[in-house]
This record gives sequence, structure tokens and C-alpha cells, in this order.
Amino acid sequence: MKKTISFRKKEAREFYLYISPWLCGLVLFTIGAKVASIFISFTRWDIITAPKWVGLENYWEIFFDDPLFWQSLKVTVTYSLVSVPLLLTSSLLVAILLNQKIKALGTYRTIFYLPTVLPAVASTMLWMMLLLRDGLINEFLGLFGIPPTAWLSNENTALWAIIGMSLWGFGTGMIIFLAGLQGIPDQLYEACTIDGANWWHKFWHVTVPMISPIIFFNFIMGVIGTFQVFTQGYIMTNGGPNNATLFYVLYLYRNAFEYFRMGYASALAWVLFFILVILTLIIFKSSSAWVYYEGQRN
Amino acid sequence: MRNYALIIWIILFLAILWFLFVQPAEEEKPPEGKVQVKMAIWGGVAETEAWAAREKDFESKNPDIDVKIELVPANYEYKMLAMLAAGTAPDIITLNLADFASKDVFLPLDPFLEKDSTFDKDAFLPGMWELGEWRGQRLTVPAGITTQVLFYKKAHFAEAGLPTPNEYAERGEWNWETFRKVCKKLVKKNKDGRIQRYAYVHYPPLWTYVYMFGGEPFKNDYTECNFEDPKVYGAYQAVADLALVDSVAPPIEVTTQVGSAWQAFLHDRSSMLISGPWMVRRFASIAGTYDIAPPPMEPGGKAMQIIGNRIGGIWRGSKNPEAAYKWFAYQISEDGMRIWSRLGFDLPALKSLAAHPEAWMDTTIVPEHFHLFYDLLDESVKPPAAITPPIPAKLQQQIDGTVWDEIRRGKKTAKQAFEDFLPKAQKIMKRGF
Repeated sequence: MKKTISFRKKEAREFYLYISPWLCGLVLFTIGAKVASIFISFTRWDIITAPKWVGLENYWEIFFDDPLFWQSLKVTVTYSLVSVPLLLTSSLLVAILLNQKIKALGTYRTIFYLPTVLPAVASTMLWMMLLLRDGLINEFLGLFGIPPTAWLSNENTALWAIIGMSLWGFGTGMIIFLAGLQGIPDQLYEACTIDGANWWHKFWHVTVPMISPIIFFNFIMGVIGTFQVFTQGYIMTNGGPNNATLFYVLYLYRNAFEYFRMGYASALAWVLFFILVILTLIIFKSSSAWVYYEGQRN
Repeated sequence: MRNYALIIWIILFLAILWFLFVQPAEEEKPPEGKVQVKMAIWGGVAETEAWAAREKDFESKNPDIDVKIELVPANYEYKMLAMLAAGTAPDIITLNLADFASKDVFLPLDPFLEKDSTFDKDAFLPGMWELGEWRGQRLTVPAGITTQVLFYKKAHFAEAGLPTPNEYAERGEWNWETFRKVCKKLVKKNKDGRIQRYAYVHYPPLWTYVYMFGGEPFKNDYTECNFEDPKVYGAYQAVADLALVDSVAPPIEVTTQVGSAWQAFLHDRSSMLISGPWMVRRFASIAGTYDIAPPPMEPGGKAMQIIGNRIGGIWRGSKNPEAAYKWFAYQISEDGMRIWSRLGFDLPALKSLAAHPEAWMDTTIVPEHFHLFYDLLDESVKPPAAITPPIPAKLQQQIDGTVWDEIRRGKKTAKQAFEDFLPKAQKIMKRGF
């Protein structure tokens, strides 16, 4: 017995020693930075001079004295509300198509996944050119008699253009859906066929429940990802026109690195964190109603 | 075996701690017997070469000082900010001085200038001095002239049968009203009525126009906004109306196609542009086809200067401020300025160099009325120690991004937009940099 305890102690000691380099990194650069940012969020700090304690002033300003905070939240929520369902639907549809037994399947999968591996900046530049007034998208729409629009210069269209562009990144979700689709046992579809189910019944009563944990995962990741969108707004429109594409993280970045208001930017970061925590909790709570786990009773 | 693994991991763990907390940053030491002065610069190949030439010349004259120049290819300001925060900034930094002066970043230069027997304030052209001062402190010596003037295409005026802006100016008729009339005649349309060439494309910042209209956008030593002044919002409205009312400048929807103001001018997509002397080198390929004139000003209006020469200030944390000052003093000396002036970004403010442009400028590319850059100097507006008026970045961004956007889209009049924005603007100004 004593030997076992001593062995366990030794093993535990070694375990902590082995993970100590990672632990150091975690404590210093992740947890440490986060704890520091909580403190900074209660200060006024421009990086160069010493931080000055201001209590809840930054949080007060965010909620009661900063229209741009609400504007950036509105832009981000709109983006999330539209692009997450669009991304989920499109990636699921393409995954279903790529799950068929057709020729050159590997090539198709590669082609559809390719945009995801392209650097975000490069693809953003490409889309900027496509969306120009004399760009290819307007050329194409012109074939149907639709007059050209400066998509990114018009405050009514800029956000929608960026939402449309977000579809470009459906590859990650598609791959995960594809893996899920391949895990559905054929017997379930065969049983449906015997019962006289059509394709829609099979899709709705077999495919969707079986991949609902994956939909759930992609949904959560999508919401978190869309709340953190930055590159498109920064490169394509720089938040404009008239703040129509002022995404939350872009506004946070501006406060930190353009206005040098680190305290305010930290407070914005914590507000975003709590928004995401609340949203994630709501989605998790709702999951019992629509997510089906194979091994789970009821 | 396991004991060996344990020992290795303990060593590794201690090594990580040592690197994190004990190991000091490796600093490049200057050659024996020399004092090192560091400077961070930004720019392209031409600027890098000019700085290298200055460094070589300076070191030959000051063998006890080793100048180390670091090129920051992008995000210069962010990098300097990080270095300032870490206490590792270079001895001389080129920043928007006013923004950082309140953070106590720069050493005031007055004590150095007073001690320096070789420095002669009278060697500089008059009217530049205030550009380097901020709230009673001298942070730099403005050595580059950047007067904003009107560039115009001579052939376009001749084609429209118009006198040149200089002729209007000689008659005392060159004001905004004349400018608008001229613009209407300069616009060139296709047979189908579409605009082929605009009369004018504006070049930021819009403060240029506010000063041209005789407005003063800030008051009480840049602590309050003065946006209620009709000359301030009037200037914004006037520029917006060129597109909204007169259709002589590109509306926002086509700005991307027309390109920036200088590109439009260079490629004959516009006839006029207001900008500074750095355009002369840029327009070398069209030299002779254009000339410069005073900007169309309203009563009390002035041309705008910005701080030039990229000299910067001495960092308060410099370990060798005396040597840093020597390097600084060289940059504003005749030798240092001659090298820089060849780049054509700004014009030297030293009287001796101004009198002989052939010594630092390719005179075959300069416009006929080149002297206007100097002639307008004394009466021009010089925002202190900054590239644009010294105001918080947030304010500038909101004016450019929100206020100006609403005006140029015709969603609000300039008066309304500035009235709506004023309370917020005053708050930002009160908070400061």
C-alpha cells in the first residue's frame, strides 16, 4: 500500500514536471495576461504613462456614453445572425453533395476546401477587387440588367457584401459535416427505404438528428467566430462607410492601438467575453431540445 | 532512466525560467571608444539610402559617435509605442510629436540649442519656428517646408479658354467662387454625358480647406473644438458641394475608380489638386504640363503647412542625449538637409539652401511657379508639432469616418453634422491624447 502511494506521488511529481514548461506559458502568458487585462479595464492607460485607476468609468462609458459601442455591437450581431445560418446551411449542403459516390470526388473536395486554406488577407484583397464598381460581380449582375453598385462604398450594401464574402470560408464547417455524415450507419437509411421514406424524410429524420451534435458544434464555433471577425472590416472598409462595417473587434483594436486607450479596450474585451459566455450558455441550454446524442437515453 | 529524464526536465525548466526572468536582452555594443545613437526610420528605398548617406557623412565628421539606423517597414507608430512602453525606444523618434509630448516622451530641445554655438536660428526662413513647439516646449526644429498649393494642368485651362489660376490670383480674383466657376468649365464629358475627366479631386486632410476659408477649427490651445464657426463647417460643405451640387468632383461611389487625388491628376483624370511639394517629384513624368498656384482662399484664408523633414525628437529615456542631439543637429545642418532635400518630400527651410534649389533639386522637373512654396510660407497656418492639427486620433477618425461621410453623402448639411457631433467632440478633446 505504502509503495503504491509513493509510486503515485512520484508519478504525479513527474507529471507536473513534464507539463511545467506548458504550465509556465499558460500561467504567464495566458492566465496572467487575462488577469492583468481585468485590472487594466478599471484604469486609464496609454501604455507609456502609468495606469490610472478609474473604477467603473470605462464600463459606464461603454454602456451609457459611447454610441459607437452600440453601433459596433449592432453590426456584429447582424453579421452573426445572417452569416452563421448561411454558413451552416451552405457547408452542410456542400458536405451532403460531397458525400455522394461520384467520380473525382477527391478533386471536388479539394477545390471546395481550397478557399479555407488561403490566407485571409489575400482572399480579402481578391474580394475587394471582385466587389469594385467595375469588378466582376457587377459585370455579372449587369448581364441581368442590374445597374452597378460600389458595394463597399455604400453604407447600405457594405455589410451585406462582407456577409456574402463570409460564405467563402465554409470549408472548415464542410469538412466537419462531411466527417459526421460518413459516420451515419447505412442501416438507418436502409430501414427508412424499407419503410417507404423519400429523400426528405431520410434527411430530416435520420441525417439531421444524427449530425445534430456537429451542427451544435459548428453553431457554437460560428457564433464565437463571427463575434470576433476583424480582417474583412479592417482591410476592405476600415469600418466604414459611416461605421456600417465597424465590427466589435475592429472597434476594440482601434481603441487599443489607434487611440491608445488600453483600459477602455480591455473593458470592451471583457464585455465581449461576457456576451459570448451568455450566448454560449443559451445555446447549450437549448441544445437539450434539438441535439441528439446516439448513446444518450431519452 | 527515469531519473535521467527527471534531471533533464529540471534543467529545462530552470533554463526556461532563466531565459524568462534572468537573461538580459542582448544589446549590440558600439565599437570601442564610441557612443551609440539609435534612430528608427520609416520609408522606402530612397529614404533608406538618404539616411545611410547622412549617417556616413555624420560619422565621418563625428568619429566618436556610432549612429545605428533601424528601418521599420510598417506600423512605425505601433512599434515605437511598444518600444517606449518597454523602455527600449531609440534615441530619436519620428512621431506626431504633440500626441506624445503630453506623455512626457520627448526631451525639450531648448537647453541643447542654447548651449550649441553652431546653431543659428536666423539661418532658417522666418515663419517656421512655431511648427516645432507644443505648449511652451520646443520638441523639434522644423526644417522642411510643405506649403499646400494648387496644382493645375495648363492644357486643360487652355482647352477651356480660361485664364490660369495664377492670372486670376494676380487680378485678385482667385477665390472659392472663381474656383467653382472654373471647375464647371473644366469638367470634360463623353458624348453620352458621362464624366470623362473631373475638374478636381480633393486630397486629405480637410483641415487644409478650413484654413483656406479662414477658419480656426480648434481654440484655447487645442483643448476645445470650434466647430460652430461657419468658416469651419462651411469649408466642409464647400468641398462636398463640388460633387453633390456642381458634379465637378467624383461622388463617393466612384472614388475607387478615379483613384486618389494625385493618381487622378497624374493620369489626366482630373485637372486640379491641392497638395504639398512632395508631389513635384511624383509628377516628374508630367513636368512642364502642370504648374502651381496659390490655393483658392476666402478672406482671411491661409495655406496650410505640416511638419516636414521627418526629424523627430529626442527620447527622454535616451542614455546619450548629448550625442543624440549632435545627430539631430546634423540633420538640420546644411549638409544633412541637402542630402534629404534631394528626395523631394519637402523643401529645405535653411535660407542658404532655399536660395539655391539647383544644389538639391532637379530643376528640370520643377513647375514654373515653384517659388510659391516659399512665397506662401510666412502667411501659412502651422499646426504645432504635428502632421495635422494636434488632436486625439479618435476625434480625427470620427470626423473623417462619420461626420465627413454624412456630409459628402448629402445625408446632413455640414452645419447639422458638426452641430450633432460637437458635444461628443468636446468630450474627446477634454479627455486629451
